Amino acid sequence: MATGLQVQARQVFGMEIKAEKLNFSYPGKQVLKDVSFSIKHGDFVGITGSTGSGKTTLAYCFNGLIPHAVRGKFSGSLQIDGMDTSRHGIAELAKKVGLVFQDPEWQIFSLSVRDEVAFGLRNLRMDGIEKRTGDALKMVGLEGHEETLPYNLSHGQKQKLCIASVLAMEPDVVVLDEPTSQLDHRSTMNVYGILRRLNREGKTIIVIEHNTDLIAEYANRVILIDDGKIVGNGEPKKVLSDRRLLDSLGIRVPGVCR
Amino acid sequence: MNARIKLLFLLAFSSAMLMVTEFYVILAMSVITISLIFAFRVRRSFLPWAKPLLLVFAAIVLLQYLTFPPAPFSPAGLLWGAVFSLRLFVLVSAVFLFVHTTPMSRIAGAFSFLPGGVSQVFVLSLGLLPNITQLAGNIMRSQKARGVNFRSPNIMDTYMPVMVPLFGKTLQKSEKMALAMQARGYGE
Repeated sequence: MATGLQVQARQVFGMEIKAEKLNFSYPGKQVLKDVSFSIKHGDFVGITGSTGSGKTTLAYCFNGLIPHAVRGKFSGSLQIDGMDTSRHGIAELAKKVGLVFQDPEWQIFSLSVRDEVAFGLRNLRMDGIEKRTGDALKMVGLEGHEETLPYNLSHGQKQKLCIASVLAMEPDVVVLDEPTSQLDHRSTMNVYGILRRLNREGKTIIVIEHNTDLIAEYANRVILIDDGKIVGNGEPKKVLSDRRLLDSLGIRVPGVCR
Repeated sequence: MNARIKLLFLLAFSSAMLMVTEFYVILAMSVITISLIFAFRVRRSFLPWAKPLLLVFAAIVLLQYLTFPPAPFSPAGLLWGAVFSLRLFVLVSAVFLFVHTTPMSRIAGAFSFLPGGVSQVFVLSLGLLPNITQLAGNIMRSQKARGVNFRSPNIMDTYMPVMVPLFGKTLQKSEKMALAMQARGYGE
């Protein structure tokens, strides 16, 4: 994990994530079109856009699932702290970028909460598995559930388990694909509370989110995507105040921007 | 008790059940198994499970009575059918007892002596089971709500609306799960 000094050094000396002319096409359909942006270390970024605009595809680029594991045509570059994702393997990138998928049901497979959290640590041959697992579970409030069968957890707890599984690997960047799309208000606030705490501890948070109220409240940057292109990038209160643009994309103007 | 010891005990018990020929020994082993089911307080989940099995056993006894090779329609056929059913019943009950008194994670742990890849596949398959069961239940409920009659004798009408989405979703889930595993460094 990066020390406070390393975090400060990164904040002072440069970008952490830089995408240049990213293009990606699934067979027969181009999903990302010349996407370029940069994200500084310690940012809390919200990525929003209508369904099918390319948000999840972009999320898969951050830790190298695209181009290494998803079939399609990829061009451009995405660098994480100078590491080009197309030249480094997923396992190597997983130490820097953790990805939480949209539906916890699609990623949990172990037969105990403890094994689920330890899975990534074992793959990456990290040391101190017990301690890291315990710390990650404590961070999301799942301590005491170590031996529970993950399928017996509530949906909110499963989402927290997925976050813990990623946090245990202590990545500098955490990417979450619509983490609260199936949660009630209380669980949503709970998850965002965890994300805010992680961000304050120095982690870069990138969250794909339809709820613009949450982006306006928690993020310090927003990236707006439409049809694979970036159509807005900047401070949430500025970008999300453009009523005409948001209306054309079918996105709701958040309460604080009206 | 350690899950691996339980598994060895289950294998030894099942082998003994298949080898023993004395009716009274088989009967004694059945009594032991049923007593254990009561002792471990799993009879509530066992009864709904056992009822349909009794119908199968009744069918076996009847068939043996009608077709017992040396002498059809003889008490020997009935006895042979009863022994066969009792053996099957004890085997199924013993497996039920093992599964219901051992957490899934320990069952998977009991198979960890298998080579790395094989035990991982075993854990993955076990992990998928509750998910697929839940998915099948949801699909059946939603198809019932759309008027599918699961008592209809036409298999195409009853099973296709369940099997097609279940198969598709399971494949989709496996694909997403593989991505999620790779995202956490699996296979590199």
